[in-house]
Amino acid sequence: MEEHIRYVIDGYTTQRVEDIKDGLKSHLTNLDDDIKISKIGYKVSLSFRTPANANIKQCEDIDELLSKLGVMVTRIIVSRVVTYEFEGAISSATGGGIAGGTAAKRLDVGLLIAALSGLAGYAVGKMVEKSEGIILLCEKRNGRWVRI
Amino acid sequence: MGKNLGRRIKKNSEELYRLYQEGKKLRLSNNILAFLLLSAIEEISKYFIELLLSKCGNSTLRRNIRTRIYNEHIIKYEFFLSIYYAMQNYDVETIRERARLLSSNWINIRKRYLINVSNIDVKIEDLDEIETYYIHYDEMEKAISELDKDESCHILNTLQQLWDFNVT
Repeated sequence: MEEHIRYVIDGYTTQRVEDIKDGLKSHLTNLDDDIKISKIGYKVSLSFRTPANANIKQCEDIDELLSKLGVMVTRIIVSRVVTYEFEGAISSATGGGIAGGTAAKRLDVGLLIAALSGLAGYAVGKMVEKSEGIILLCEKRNGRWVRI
Repeated sequence: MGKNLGRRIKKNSEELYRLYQEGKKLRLSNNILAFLLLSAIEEISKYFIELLLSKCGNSTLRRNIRTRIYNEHIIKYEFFLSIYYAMQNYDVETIRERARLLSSNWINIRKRYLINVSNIDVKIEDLDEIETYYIHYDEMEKAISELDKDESCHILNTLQQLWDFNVT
């Protein structure tokens, strides 16, 4: 099981996704996962990850970096995450629960977390990235960063 | 506040489902009926999140999830479907694949009503399929209510990192 720090950042931009990605790559040298960017209209969400022993970047620093790349940041979430290989349920629709129509069974939390981490785009195959908790959450209000 | 909000959200969902059933009798268009059903699923997904939030009791998570996740239709569908398939013990890859595919279909169906593309009507089979997912929510609710505090927090911590998926 490996520990990391995951940054998820929301904001607005008119820049191209590729340009933001290239700009971030040249400024952030200690990443241990691909930079992920989702842009719909002008709304952008981006995420990157560093090893657990790297310094945690403060909201003002992240904002300064991204504003240089043309991103107006509105929210920053920094979380402690762990990655591991999932070795849980492997059967396919084995009945019980909803499919079997029998009494409800216990929800396999490990399986659910593995599925969700894949949907977030942080994990592929059997790899799971599980968030252990928020370290830092900031929002920009009236031009100032507020820690929540 | 938390418990009341959860109850109100659940009531909203049941009311939307009741409207769907009434609409069916009145032979409303499938696009409208699908929109009502999908809205009911979104509300029940929020209700599941509220159940987890009240168990976890973390105010930072609560605030972040309510402001970030509740606006994202696709995440609410993905969360609902992930629970649904996890309860059937599908393997993790299948859950991800199905949840991603179906939630994307549901977003397109939802848009048909909003954009009012009346010449493309939702198929009756799609409507029945969405209803099949919805009517099992009580079983999912029971499973969620049996989770403990740590399990609830772990799920929410991972959920709060999801975003409207279009990653490049």
